[in-house]
Amino acid sequence: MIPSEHILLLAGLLFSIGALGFLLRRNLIIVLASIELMLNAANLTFLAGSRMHGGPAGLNLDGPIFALFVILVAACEAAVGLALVIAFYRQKQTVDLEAATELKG
Amino acid sequence: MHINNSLWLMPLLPFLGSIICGLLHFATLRARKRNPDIGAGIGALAAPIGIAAVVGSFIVAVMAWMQLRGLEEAERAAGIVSSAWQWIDLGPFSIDVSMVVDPLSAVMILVICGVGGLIHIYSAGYIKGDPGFAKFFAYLNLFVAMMLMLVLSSNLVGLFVGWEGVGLCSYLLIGFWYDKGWPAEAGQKAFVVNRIGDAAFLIGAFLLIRLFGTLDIADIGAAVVTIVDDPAKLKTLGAATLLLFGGACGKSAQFPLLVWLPDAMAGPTPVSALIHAATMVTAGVYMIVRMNPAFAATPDTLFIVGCVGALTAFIGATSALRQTDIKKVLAYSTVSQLGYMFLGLATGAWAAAVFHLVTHAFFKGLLFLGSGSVIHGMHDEQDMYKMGGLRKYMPKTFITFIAGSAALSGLPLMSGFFSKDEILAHAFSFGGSYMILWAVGLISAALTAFYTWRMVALTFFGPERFDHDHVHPHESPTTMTAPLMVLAVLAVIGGLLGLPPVFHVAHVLENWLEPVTAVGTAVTEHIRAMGGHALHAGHLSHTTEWLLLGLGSLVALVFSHLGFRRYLNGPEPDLNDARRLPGLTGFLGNAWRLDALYDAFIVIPVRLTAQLISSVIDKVLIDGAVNGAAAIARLVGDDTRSLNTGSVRSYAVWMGCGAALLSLLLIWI
Repeated sequence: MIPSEHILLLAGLLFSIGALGFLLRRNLIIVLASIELMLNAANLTFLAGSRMHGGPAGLNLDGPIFALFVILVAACEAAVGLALVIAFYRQKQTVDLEAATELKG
Repeated sequence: MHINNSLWLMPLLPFLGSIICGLLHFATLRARKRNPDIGAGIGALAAPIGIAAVVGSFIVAVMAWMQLRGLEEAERAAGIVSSAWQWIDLGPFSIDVSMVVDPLSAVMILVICGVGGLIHIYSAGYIKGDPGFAKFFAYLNLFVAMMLMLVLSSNLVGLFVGWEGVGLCSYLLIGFWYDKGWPAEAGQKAFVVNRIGDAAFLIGAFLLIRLFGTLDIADIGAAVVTIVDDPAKLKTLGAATLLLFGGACGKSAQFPLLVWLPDAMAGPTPVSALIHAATMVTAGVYMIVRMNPAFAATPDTLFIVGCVGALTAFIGATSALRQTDIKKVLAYSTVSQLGYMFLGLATGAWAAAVFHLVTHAFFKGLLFLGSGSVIHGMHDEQDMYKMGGLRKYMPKTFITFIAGSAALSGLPLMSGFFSKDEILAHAFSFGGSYMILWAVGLISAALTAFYTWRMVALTFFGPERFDHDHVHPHESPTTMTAPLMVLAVLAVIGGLLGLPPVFHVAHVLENWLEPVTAVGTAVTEHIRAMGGHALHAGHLSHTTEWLLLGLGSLVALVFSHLGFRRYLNGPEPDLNDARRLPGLTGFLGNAWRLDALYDAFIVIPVRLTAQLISSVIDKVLIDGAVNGAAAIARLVGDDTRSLNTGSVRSYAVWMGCGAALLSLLLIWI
């Protein structure tokens, strides 16, 4: 069986990739995809945690259930995020994040 | 027929009338914009509605009274009770909205609806043509509803609701002609001064809750006997009754809170008659009679009541001597007569106080309405120095006014004679320090006779001092003179309600009120039996009573004669007095300069404090704190605005840094 630590390591890697993508890329769609990556890294962490803290039967459903909720939220987020991207594109004719600086103080 | 469920009609009818009249007032305002005649026509509908509402209440009151008369004496004490619903429920402490017609409230509702009805009819003539015609009836009806609430409620909370309600109506009606300026100020003065008394009343009621755990008047009356053995509780009860009396001082214009009543004459005259003579100002007397067991248990409070009453009677009577405004004379007279009622209460003569309350409602209501008729006929002239010789112009007003004056001055066999003498006889029978109160009362009675007939002489006799080119005195319409005549008859024969014992006829009112006053008497008996500090019991032999009656008659006759003769030829004696004794006449004319005292010791200090607070605390401290906070916010904003780059990714960096920081904190701590 794959040790839980490996799963956590993978999750950390995925999260880092997502975070870097979020911070460094300017394309809004890539940014959204990076967020999905981070969310799924979180899901992996939940599942790993569930495995590590399993009850007497070796099962703990808290992690998987939480992961299901995260998937649900991620779906909503993707729907809203993509709608925002479309609205943004209609305004600016571009999906470059740097074009959105109206709130500069 | 059982009246229990119909008791609600009494306050409800005038209340509905008030709402309808109020709506009519708004309709008048709207219609007047388009056509003034239609507006006035709509407004005129208020008179029949307002009158009908009060007459309806009067009919219910009479039916309640008839049913009460048919009850056994024991049942009569409990009265006819009608509970509507539970208003406040706090475990062991609850307050119902409930009404009770017992002998005392029966007397009150008959007076309120009876005299009130007559004054409503009178008002239809008096206030005719005023732009606020419908509004006037709305306020007047609301007043009657509130006054009925006050006297019918079976607990002190309901009584207080009515108490505040009549205060509100009084304020509204004093300031009825608010566009003139000073009536609005007089209304505010009345409201503020009353508020002082109301605060005392409330604290007294809280003390009663603490003592008895209830505010039901009958329950308190029954519970008083159980605490008279406990000196500590008795002391608390003494404080409570004193505070309740403080409330009565405000509402019934007793020293030192009497200053609002003379100013209240700024309102229309029917208002002065109904609210500031016949009904509302007697609420304090009613309340004390209602609470008679509690007061009977605290003779020290009653002695203070007596001192205040006698002093007020004296202040009122002396101040009335120097007034030139006919309504001001009557106002100070009312203050003075209310003082008599409190003097009566002080001797535990509850029935005598109620007797004087009733006769006073008759004759003072009559005198106010009469003065209103004079003012109406003289084109709004109130200065008696500018009247004179009016008896041939307005004969009906004149004759009824004479009847009222005879009753007020206590001429023999008039209603005021019997009621005032009964109070004075009670004070006399107590002896001791009450003797001084009796003497003050007798002197005030002499002064009362004097100023009453001075007023009559100045108004109706002597040379005509008005400008014949501009003023054409005329008799008032029948709507105004008819109520005068009814009240005149009552003012003359009202004494039959309470003939003195020497006449060997039953004292009707005393017997009628017996179930109510018996509780207080029982408390006194109980305290006396256990050797406590009880109210005296006075007894007068028939000879003494005859002597007192004779003395009262003599004083009234002599001083009436003196006052009448002195001013028969006009106000010159007054002017001479003012030249010879400017200090004294000024002192009396300004009602012992009480207003100046209030100005110096309360009004001006309060204003100065307010200015201090406004200029120092408000402007410097509070404004400084608010402006300082705003300045700090702006400063911080200016310095940190560069962080707000508008770039989403820089926010994400900040957020990431924050999350990292929090994680580190979590790990370390």
